[in-house]
This record gives sequence, C-alpha cells and structure tokens, in this order.
Amino acid sequence: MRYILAAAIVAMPAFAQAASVANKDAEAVTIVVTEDGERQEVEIAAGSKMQLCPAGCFVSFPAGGMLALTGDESVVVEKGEGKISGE
Amino acid sequence: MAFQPRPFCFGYSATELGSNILRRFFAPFLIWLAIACAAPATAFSQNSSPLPDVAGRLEIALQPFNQRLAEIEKILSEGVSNQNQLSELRLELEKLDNEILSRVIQIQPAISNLKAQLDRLPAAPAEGEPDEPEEIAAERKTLSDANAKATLAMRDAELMTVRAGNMLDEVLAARRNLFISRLFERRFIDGETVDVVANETGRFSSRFFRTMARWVRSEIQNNPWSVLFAFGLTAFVGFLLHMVLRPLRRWLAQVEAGEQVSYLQQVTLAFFTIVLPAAAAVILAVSLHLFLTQLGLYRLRVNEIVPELLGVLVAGMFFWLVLRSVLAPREEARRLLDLSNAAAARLMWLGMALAVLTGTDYFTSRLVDIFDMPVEFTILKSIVGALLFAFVLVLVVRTRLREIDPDEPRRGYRGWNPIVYWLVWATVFAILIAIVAGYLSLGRFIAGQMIFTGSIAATLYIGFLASRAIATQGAVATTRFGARLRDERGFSELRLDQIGLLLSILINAALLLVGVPIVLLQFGLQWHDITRWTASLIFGFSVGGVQISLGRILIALLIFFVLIALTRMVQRWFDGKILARTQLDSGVKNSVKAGVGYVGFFVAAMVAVSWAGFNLSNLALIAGALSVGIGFGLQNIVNNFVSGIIMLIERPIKVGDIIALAGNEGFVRKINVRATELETFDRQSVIIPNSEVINSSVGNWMHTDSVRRILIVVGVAYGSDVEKVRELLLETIKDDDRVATFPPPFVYFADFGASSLDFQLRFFIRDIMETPFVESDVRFRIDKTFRENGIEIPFPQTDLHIRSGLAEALGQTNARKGSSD
Repeated sequence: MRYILAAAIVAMPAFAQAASVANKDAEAVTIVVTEDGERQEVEIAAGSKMQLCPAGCFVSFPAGGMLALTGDESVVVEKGEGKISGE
Repeated sequence: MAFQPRPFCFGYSATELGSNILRRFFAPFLIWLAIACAAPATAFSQNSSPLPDVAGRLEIALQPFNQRLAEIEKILSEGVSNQNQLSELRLELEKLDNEILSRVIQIQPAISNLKAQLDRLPAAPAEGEPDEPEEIAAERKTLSDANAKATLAMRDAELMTVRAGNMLDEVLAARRNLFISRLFERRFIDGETVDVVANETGRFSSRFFRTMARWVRSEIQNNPWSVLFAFGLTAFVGFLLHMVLRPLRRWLAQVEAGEQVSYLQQVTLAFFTIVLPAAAAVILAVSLHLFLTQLGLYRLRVNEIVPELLGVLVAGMFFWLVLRSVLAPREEARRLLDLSNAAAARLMWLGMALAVLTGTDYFTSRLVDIFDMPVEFTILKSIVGALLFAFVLVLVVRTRLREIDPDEPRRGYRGWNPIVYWLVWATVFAILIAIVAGYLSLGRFIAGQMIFTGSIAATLYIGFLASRAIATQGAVATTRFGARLRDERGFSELRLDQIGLLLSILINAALLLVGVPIVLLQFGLQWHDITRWTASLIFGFSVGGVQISLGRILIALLIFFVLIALTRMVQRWFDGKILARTQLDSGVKNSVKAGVGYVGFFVAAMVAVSWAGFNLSNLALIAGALSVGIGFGLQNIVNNFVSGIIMLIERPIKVGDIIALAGNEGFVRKINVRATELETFDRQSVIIPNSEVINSSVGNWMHTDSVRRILIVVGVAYGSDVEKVRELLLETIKDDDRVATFPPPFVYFADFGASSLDFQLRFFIRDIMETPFVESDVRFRIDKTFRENGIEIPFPQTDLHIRSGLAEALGQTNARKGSSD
C-alpha cells in the first residue's frame, strides 16, 4: 500500500496535461512547433505518439495545414495532414 | 534614478514572478473558457448561405496586436535604458503570445468547419473522367479559397508570435546588458561628492522626519477616531494571536523542561518557534497596513514608506527568529548546530548585525527612491554598506566554532568547513577590491548575493539535517505524533522507522524542488527556461530516436503497482467469497488462486509497459541476439516453470498429498512456480524442481483416495497349526474400525522359509495416515494371541547334522570330565 502512495506522490508531476500528436502514417513525419514564439522542428516516428506544448502552441504540418493547440487536444497526422481527433 | 539590484532574483521582481504564475495557471483556464464560449457561436453554414469570412474575422482580431508589435519594435530600435520599462515590455510581450494564440483558437472551429465542408464534397474527378457539375465545382472553389485565406491568416498569427518572441529576446538581452553595464559602472569619490553627501544627509533626514511627524500630527488631528480604530484593531489581532499561541508556548515549555530531547524534537521545536511567531508578525503587519489603507490614513509619501518599513521589520524579525532557533545561544540542548556557547552567542550578534545592515541598506535605498535623492548619496551608501558588510563577514569567519579538541589538530579553520572558510574570505576580498577599484555597484551586488545565497544554502542545509534526523532509527517514535501512532494504533517500531524514512525522502524532494530553481534563478536563469526543461523532462524528449518520458514511466510504475494490488484484492476476494462456497478441495483452490495471481501480474506488466511507450520491436532485436545465451542458461528454469503450469492444470499432485519421489517421501506443502516443497515425516523440507515431478515417476498415495494396503509379515515355527494361525491373524484385525472390510483382509501363506513358516497378513486401511499406528497395533495383538495360543515365532534356525567323529569327540570330553572329578 505504501509503495502505491510513494509512487503516486512521485508521479504527481506526470499528471500534468499536454497535447499529444500521433503519427498514423507509415513513415516518420516532421512537424514545426511554434511555442512561445520559437519555432522548432519535431520528428515523430511512424506509428508513435509524442506529447508536446502543455501551454499552447502552433503546429505546422507537412501538407501545409496549421493548427493552434491549447495543450489538451489529441492530434492525428494522416497523409501529412493534421486533424484534431474527436471532430 | 539610482540603480539598485534587488537581492531577490536576478532580474525578477515579485510582481513578475506573480504574473508568471498567473499566466501559467490561469491563462489556460481562460483560454478554455474562451473556447467554451466561442464554440456555440460557430454556426454550421448550409451550402446556400454565404460563407462566414473567417479569414477576415481573424485578421480584424489580430489587427491591434500587429499595431502594438510595430510600436514596440520602434521603441526597441530607439533603445531603452530603463529597467522598469524593459520589465513592462517583457511582461507585455509574454502576454501577447498568449493572447494571439487564444484569438486563433477562438476562430479555429470555424476554420475546421470550412475544411470539413470541403472534405464532405464528393471526390474531385480524376484525369479523363467527365467534369463534375458546375455547382459542385463552384462550391469547391469557394471553399478552397476561403480555406486557403484562413490558413494564411493563421500563418500570419504564428508569424506574429515569432516576431514577439524575437522582440522578447531583444528585451531580455537589453536587460542583461543594462544590468551588467550598471553593475560595472565605475565611480570615484572626490571631495565634491563628500560635500554633496554631507549636505544631502542633513537635508534628507530632516525631510524624512518632518514628513513622518507631519503625517502623524495631521492624522491625529483630522481623523482621531480612524487612527484609534486602526491601531486598536491591530492590537486586537495581536491579542487574538496571543491567545492562539498560548497553548503552543505551554507545550514548548513542557518540552524544554523535558530531559532527553531528540534531534528530531529539537528540529520540530525550532520549526514551530520560527514559523508561528513569524506568521504572527506577518499577520500583524499586514493587518496594520490594511487598516491604514482602508481607513484612508495614508497620505503624502507615507503610503510608500510605511509598507517598506513594515516589510523590513518583519524580515528582520524573521531572521532573528531563525538565528535564535538554530543557534540557541542560551540553551545548548536546543542548538541545532554543533557550536560552543561562546560561538553561538557571537554568531547571533554578528548575524543580527548583518541583518540590520542589509535592512538599513535596503530601506535607505527605497527612501532614496521615494525622495528622489541624488546619486552621490547612493554611492557613499554603497561603499559604507559594503565595507561594513565585509568587516562583519571577517568577524564571522574568525569565530572559533568549537573548543579545540587536543586530539584533533585542525589547520586553523576554527571548526569551519574549509570550503566555506575560503569562500567567505574570497567574497570579502572581492568586495574590497571592487570597492577600491571603483566598482561600487559590483561590491554591493556581491554582498547582496552573499547574503541571499548564503541564507538559502543555510536553510537548505538545516532542512537537510532535519530530514536526516527524521530518518534515523527510532526518531519518529520520540515525537508525540509517533508515540501516539505506536500506542493507539499499534504501529511497530519498524513501521515508525519506515514512516520516518518516507518523510525524510519527501522532505529532501521538496527541498530540491524548491531550492534548485531558486538558486538557478539567482544565477540568471529564466523562469521560462526552467519550466521548459521540466516540461520536456516530464513529457519526453528524444535521445537518438528513442523517446524517453519520465512522466510516462512514473505513471506506468504507478499503474503497475495499482494493478498488482488489485490482483491481490481479487485473489483474496476469490478465496474468501467464491472458493469457500465450492466443494473443491484445497489443492484446486490453491491452483486457482495462483493462476489468478499470474494472470494479474502479466496483465499489469503488459499495461504498464505499453503505457510507458516502450517500443517492444526495438527490444526484439536485442532479445534475438541474447536469446541463444539466455535460452541455454534459462533452460532449466523455464522447464521448471512450464512444468509448474502443467502441474497446475493436470494436478498429478495436490497440496496435502503424501508422495514418494526420488527417495523422498512426505507431504506436499506448497507448489510454487519453480519447485514443489515436500515435508518428510522427519519434518525435513525437501524442495524438488517441478521438472522432476513431471518428468520422473511420482508415487502419490492420495491421488484418488487415501486407502492403503498394509502387509504384516510374520513367521511361525515349523510344526504350528497353520489353520489356527490363519484364524488368529484374521482375528487380530476383525474389530478394528480402521481396517477396511472391502477388499476383505487376506492371509497369505508365503513360503516354507529357512527358519519359519512365513505368512503375510494383507489388509487395507481407510486412511493412509493411520499406517504406522495400525501396523504397530496389529503386531502387538499378533504377539499377544500367539503367546496366548502357544504359537511360537522362531529365531532364525539351522539344523546341524554331524556325519562322523562325534563318538570320538564325545569320548574325549567324557574322559576329561571324568579326570577332573
């Protein structure tokens, strides 16, 4: 029981929320994340998911689209286009 | 305006920190609110109604930001030389980024709507196919155009944030440069400066005291009741605090009167004697300030002076409380550090001197600000302050901390840690050199940093001592809380120590979490960077294509433990509620319980690993390479494990059976994953690998039932009545309940033996556990009846036939016998 408590306490910061971007294509995809006015290229391996910008950002996708995120959306990248899943 | 580096954080004042926290926590909430309100506003447009001009809306919303950014650009290009202005710009730019993002988010649902409409149109015809109808083509064109324009507008917004980010970097660089240039300004004192200062001091003090006096007089004259009210209320608050703190003081007195005070108790005591009076002081000061504000008693410049004064007084009192608790100059038993009485007293004085110096320095800086004193004043104040500070530091480091131990000759550090010793001297020299060379601000800065970093380091050190104290054996038990746990809840000493260990870990973690960022901020790191690092640490970063995320790993661990606990609960529930109601024997119940345990463990592991995001395909390569070696090495273990599973399913043996295996015979006590535990009749535990159980022949006396056949072998003398023997033998077991009537007992005439006629009494008993008892009892009975009936059980016998030479032997013996007569 106490291990659970200890693990819970230690893991608390991990409960913070961040937006997740999942790559459903067969190849790795490179997106450009603009967070706090800084652009950064992020590569997502094929089939994997990454968590980003807990405080909101712009995400630019290889097919030319762009999304504005607040930090708790799940985005799916398909054929180079990004869509917020659930819409 | 005089430059004064506030000894708080590099470049951050309290307002900035506060707004940072606000921005991080409340801004997302506000954004959420904005979305929630904007969502119903996005209408679903039919094909026939005109499209909403999404791009236009966005551009209009972003117009004011564009303007502001251009303005700021202009200001920056002209150069800013005011720290305050730079701070404001910085705040504004940081907010801008968020505001632009939130505007875009508001409009985003409309944009996705456009795209969705576009997607809903039937697919465009490929080359060579007939063109699509005109309306659809027109619609497609309109939608694509609108979509493109909207995306462009969004890109504009993103570009604006990048511009804002660049400008922010410029502002930060400008701040840094300004700070450094001010820090390294050189000034020299000449006669003129001294003259100016001499005059100004006189003027300044008279101004100050006159202002204060005037204020007091005017308030008492004009609003006597308000004054009375304000101070009366404050006195009332003080009285309340006194009543609340009284039981605490009584408890403290009790503890003081106590004898053996453990280190942990001392720390707790120190904590309470600092925090509570400090909190009381803060409450008092805040109340006074509030009352004065509310009753409108602040006039002239007083509203700036009084809060600063109160702040300095409270800080000074806090410092005094800390020093008194830690050094405890008059009570050696309560001292937290290992110092002699003389050292403690001296350090107390010196510490207070430092505090007074710092406080005065700060207060006069504020006064200089408020009263717009000339800069020469600051110069002299800096010099005097820094020199005095250096002087006190020297006195501090020259204090002999402990009595000299004749056995331990030290190199003259007087008990100080050599690192600390040299650090302090280095600082003193740095200050002196800086002052002499004219770098006055630098000198003051070093002094200020020394105090601030020193206090933080000291606090962290004491915190660390405290956590170490809690973790020592038996420490928690000495506190009242621990004693109560032990007496009322029955916590063992071991459990208390574990609690102590856990608490100590928590305290260390808290100290790190709080201390490290503060120290980093002091060294010039931005809060922004710290949050960014923490976020990437928690949310994951890529290391050569592999994504590591601390947060996910921690959550995965948590999930694992929770699932394991759940499995245990399910096992117990199963055992208690369901299995207890069935007719299955204990062996089956055991199997089921173990099976549930394995399944639960497997599920927990799978869920945890998949949550942690481990790409198992990466592991496959490694596993493939290692599998050969592992395969050979783990052969037997896996063999045993699989045998164990087969045993669970097939159940050749159950817990409680009596089995004979490889020369060992005994009860099966436990069937584990790898091996089975046997308890022989001698009470020896034999641990047999499961593979042996499966692969070799196992004799199980109780596999189907607990019946066992007993053989009693007995021999009778030649010449006995064999029918009588049979009758008597059957008689001995006739009335014994333990003997089974079916199959019927049977006397078997085994052999015409070498010394006897061999018989075997064969019968079955119902319970194998009775074997030795029945055997023994029957043998006793056989002996009794045989004796009663005159039947002899012979010793091993041999008939001796003498063929020749007997007469001569007899004759010789007779002759000898006759001659000895």
